[in-house]
Amino acid sequence: MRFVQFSDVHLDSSIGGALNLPADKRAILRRDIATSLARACALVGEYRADVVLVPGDLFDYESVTPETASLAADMFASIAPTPVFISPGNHDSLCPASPYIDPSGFRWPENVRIFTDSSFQTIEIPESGCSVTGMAHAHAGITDRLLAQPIARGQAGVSILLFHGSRDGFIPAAQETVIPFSDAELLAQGFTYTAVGHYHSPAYILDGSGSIKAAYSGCIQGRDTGESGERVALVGEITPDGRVEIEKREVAERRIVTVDVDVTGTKDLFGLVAKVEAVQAASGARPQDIVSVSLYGAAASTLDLDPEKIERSGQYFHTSVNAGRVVPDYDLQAIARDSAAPSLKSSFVRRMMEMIENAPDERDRLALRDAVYYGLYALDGRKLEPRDVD
Amino acid sequence: MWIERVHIKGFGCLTERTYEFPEGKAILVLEDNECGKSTLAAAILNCLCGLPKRKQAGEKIKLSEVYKPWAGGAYAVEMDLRANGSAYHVERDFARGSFTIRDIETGRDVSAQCSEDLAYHFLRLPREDYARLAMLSGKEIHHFEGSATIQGRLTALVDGAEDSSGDAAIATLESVGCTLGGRQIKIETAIKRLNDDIAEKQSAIRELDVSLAEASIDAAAMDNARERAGELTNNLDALDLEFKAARLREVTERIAGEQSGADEIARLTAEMKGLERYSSFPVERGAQLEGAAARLGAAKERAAELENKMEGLRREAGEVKSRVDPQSRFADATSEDAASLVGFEDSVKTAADARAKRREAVDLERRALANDGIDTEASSRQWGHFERLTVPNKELLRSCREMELRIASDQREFETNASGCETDLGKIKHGRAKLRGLGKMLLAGGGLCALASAALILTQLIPMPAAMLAAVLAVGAIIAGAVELTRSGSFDADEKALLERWLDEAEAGMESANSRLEDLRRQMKQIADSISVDPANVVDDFREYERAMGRAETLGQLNAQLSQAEESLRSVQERATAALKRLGIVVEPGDDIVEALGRAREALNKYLADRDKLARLDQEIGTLGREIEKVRAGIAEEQEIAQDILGDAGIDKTLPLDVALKAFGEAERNYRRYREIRDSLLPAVGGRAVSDDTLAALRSEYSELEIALAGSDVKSTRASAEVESERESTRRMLGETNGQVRDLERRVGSRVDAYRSEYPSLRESLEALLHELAKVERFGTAISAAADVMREVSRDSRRKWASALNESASAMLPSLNHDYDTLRFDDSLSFTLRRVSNGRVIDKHELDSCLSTGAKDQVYLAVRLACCDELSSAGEPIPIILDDPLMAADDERFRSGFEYLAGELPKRHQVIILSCHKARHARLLDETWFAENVSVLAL
Repeated sequence: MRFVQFSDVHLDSSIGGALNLPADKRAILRRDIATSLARACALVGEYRADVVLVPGDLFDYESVTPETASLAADMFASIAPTPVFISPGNHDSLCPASPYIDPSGFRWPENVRIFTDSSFQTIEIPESGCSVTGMAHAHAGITDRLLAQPIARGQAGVSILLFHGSRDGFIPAAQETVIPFSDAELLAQGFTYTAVGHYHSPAYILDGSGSIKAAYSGCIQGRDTGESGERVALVGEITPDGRVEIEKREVAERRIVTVDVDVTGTKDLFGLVAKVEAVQAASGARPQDIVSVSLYGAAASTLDLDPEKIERSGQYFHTSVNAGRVVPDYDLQAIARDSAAPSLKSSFVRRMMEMIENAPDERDRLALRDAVYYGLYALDGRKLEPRDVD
Repeated sequence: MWIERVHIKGFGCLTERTYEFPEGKAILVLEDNECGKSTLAAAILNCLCGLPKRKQAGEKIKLSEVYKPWAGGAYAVEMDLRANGSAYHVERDFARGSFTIRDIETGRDVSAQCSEDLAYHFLRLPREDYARLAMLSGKEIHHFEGSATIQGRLTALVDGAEDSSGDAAIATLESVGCTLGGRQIKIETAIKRLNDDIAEKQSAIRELDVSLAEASIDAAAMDNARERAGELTNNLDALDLEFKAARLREVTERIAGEQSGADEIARLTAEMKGLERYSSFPVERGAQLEGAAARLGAAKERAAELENKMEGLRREAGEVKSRVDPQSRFADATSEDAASLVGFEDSVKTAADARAKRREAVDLERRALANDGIDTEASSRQWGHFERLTVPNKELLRSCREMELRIASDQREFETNASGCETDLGKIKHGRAKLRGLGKMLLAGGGLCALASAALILTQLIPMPAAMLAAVLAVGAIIAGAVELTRSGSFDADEKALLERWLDEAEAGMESANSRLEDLRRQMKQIADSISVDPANVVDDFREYERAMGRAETLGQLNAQLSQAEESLRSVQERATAALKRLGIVVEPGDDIVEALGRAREALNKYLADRDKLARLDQEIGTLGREIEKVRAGIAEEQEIAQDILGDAGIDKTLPLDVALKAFGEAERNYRRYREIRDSLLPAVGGRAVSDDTLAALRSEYSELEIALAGSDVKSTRASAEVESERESTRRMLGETNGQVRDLERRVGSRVDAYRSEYPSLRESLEALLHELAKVERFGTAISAAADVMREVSRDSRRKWASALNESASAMLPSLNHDYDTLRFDDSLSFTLRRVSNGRVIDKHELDSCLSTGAKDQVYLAVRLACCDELSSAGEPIPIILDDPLMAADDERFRSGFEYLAGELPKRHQVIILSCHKARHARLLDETWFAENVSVLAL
């Protein structure tokens, strides 16, 4: 039995601010998401898939338009009669007037099967000899450990579990935790394969023998610096003996490419632009890609870090430059060297370094690190401006 | 540490030079400009500390480039030094960047155990600190013109800040703002504005969330309504079948019935009459009543639950309000008021401290005056006549002694010069006399010899060659005598002429000095006569008068400062009192204003916290109140429905609901019996006699019903009319329910539309604001931390230096400038001096205007040397390199200052003095102390 899996499409979602995209490019990137969905659907015919698995976050509830929902419905209709199973996630949860539920008045094609119950339900597919068990986030996010209890499987030989949840130990920073589960809890359910959504990078969960038992496909279109590189849908096959083989297929036409550029030792803007362009070229970025340049290292006081002057090559769809990790070119260790007659600068840096070492948390530490530079700037008569926060 | 030898292989303009620095002596490098003095100093510094690896701030080219040998070749310096009881040989090759240090005694390479910066290794002074403190250039005096005050220059020295002192940095940190909305504003204001904006966005988002939650409730109600509609539709379908079944039974019975008994009709009619009052009983509303009762029960439970919660919130709000109400004076107060109270507390404390210090200074001066036996008023009376003197006359009296000393010194110098010249002239005269004597002797000897040789030639007593030889010798002696006589006339002619000119100058100088002295004494007498004072005592009396007046003036200034401090305190107290008054707090005279401010701040902070909490509780109470009202409205609605139904059924509405429900059941049973008699039993009895047409119609109906019910096993015991009635009621209820569904759909739709149109942009704005807030808050925290630490380290450093310098700089100053002593620093490195001549303490505010450039130079030099003393106190003595340190001093101070630098300082430190002023030093060459203590080094 063959399947195509994709999730975290986030149709009509907002675009990450870190890329500094202007409004027209944000609109283009939002259209790119729909294009990626179309390319993922096209894999069904190419791969002769028996079933499509969508474990959540097909769209963002708060911003999805009826037109976009219709577009998705048309794409799914185009691959009928292949059944499409959707297990709504925390972003496309079953809030009032969700396109998933009857009162919305929205009609999905016959081949689309949406789980609308917040407890696990099973749908049998006799023609494929498999069953799909899934559930829906009935509100903005379920945080119960639903996999801690046994989940009833279908009668068919191949049983597939479909849900939107957070794998323990891999929860990305600043991401909401929904239906947390451990690998052991998931494997204990005994499903042939589990399609999981929520995390935006692909990942496999293997059993003790190294066989794939579950997978995240990740998002299908990068929208922020945390979603760089290839964005894929999964095409997989479950063999009669229950073995799962999976292949990643890139569906995003436009990638986000992140590069780090060390500014240490760079003397002037020309040198910096040349360095940035060299790193961009080496990154393999294509003209249609978005390149996110993160500058780091120690910058000389004379170095101009104005992003608008640095991102002027115009070779790529968009280039964003962030200088949040750049620190001023001060040799703090040398300044803080022990002396019988320390200068004010030396005493100041030494005291600040003590405070940084004893800072109670990372937040204080970062503020104190900034304080060192602000103090040195003030002593050197340089202009004080807020440094960017990561 | 002592540098014993420096060998320069190549460094700037110096190539293959070796310099020895004998122990215990000051080294004086006396050369013209451009000869390499500063290069030698740089070579010593860089051999000791190494060249900096990075280009220093403000440097166009690296130092290593600056000192490349002009003539090419090796770029290296070697040095022998002694430190920590051992002798070391240091080799630095700047071209190769190599560094080696060996223990001379063992020959062992100890480079690995040493820092490449030997000043750091031996003196614990990294290169920059060593250069800052131990290398002093007289040219630094020019910095006084750039720096506002001598205190500023000292602060820059201690702080090690070249361009901007710590005070400037602290001021920058304290005044920094940030840009918000295109305007530069204070960080606190920016944070407040951002927080306000964030609160506004969050509130809007909360409202949207509440609206969505309400939409969810409506959606659930809509689902229930839909379910009910489904059930009603099913019921209607079942009633349709039941109606047909009932009708089939009735038709069957009518057809089958043949007889109707009159008795039975009469009995049934009588019973029906008894039940007549139930004829209009609304049986179809029984299910409605049941539903309403169930919903009513649930709603009441919900209401009770919400009311309990409300009660809890009200109780809490009441407690908070009871704390807030008595503080109504703070009604208009904000957190900025609390911050201003803190500011006032600090200001009042600072002003009070300042006043206490001023008062202490006044008391101290008064006690000092008493100890010195100075009564300023009595002095003013005793020497009031000096007031009549003109300013030039006063100045003359003030400088009279100094002028006399200077004239006496000049006289001595001229006498010495004249005596020296006379001695030297005597020596020249003696030399000439000796030459003249020798010449004469040779002439005489030669003449005699010539006569003798002539006689011998003539007499031929001896052989001719011998006689000729004697004659030649005689001529030679005559010539030599003539030469010596000639030489005696020109012997040391230039020197003699010079000495004679000097002698003339000395004598002229002596005359001039005598004349000046007489002039001075004449002027003194005129002055004394003009105020009827004994000329012999006029200068001493005037000094005593000035001393007393100087002290009086000092006291006056201190009193003025005290008044100013008191005024400042009063002003800040008044402002604080006004601020408190604005907050409704009256401060009585005599109250401790700081305590009052503290109390007010605490009370205000507490009040503001309570007020915020109360607002939050009020908001929650409002929300809960609306919810309760909604539930109560539901209860009222359901009660209205129930009472309406009971009213329709003729049941007493005032009965409790459970009793009323029982009565409703009883009435329903009576109604059903009435309908049975009327609709079934009586017609059945009466229908026994029917017409043929009617019978045919009944049979036709029967056939149709049988077809319609084919395959159905539906039975009904009820009359078809009764079923029809219920069917009608169900149809009406279904219509109502579908109407509810449509209303709910509209409500949910409008809320969701509003949510979708506003939520994304609100969320985006909120995230941008939170990002900006995080940035500004971190900026504020960092700036505040930097300012705090800068203040702390600056204060600590200056305090430490002030205490260390007080003793040593004060002790050193009279040796460099005997006009001043008692140098006193405070924690800000501001200082006072005492003028020895009149005992007057020169206030720090006057220093920069009163002190001459030379005096400032000497004070600054004393401080610099005291710094080196302080840094050497715990370990190795620091070698000091001085580049024309006394260039702004007058001759007298130059002499005494140099004597100190060369005579006293080398007892504690190695001293290397660089100078291009040969003439000044030439005057010291004959001084005994100079010969004993100074080693002059030629480059």
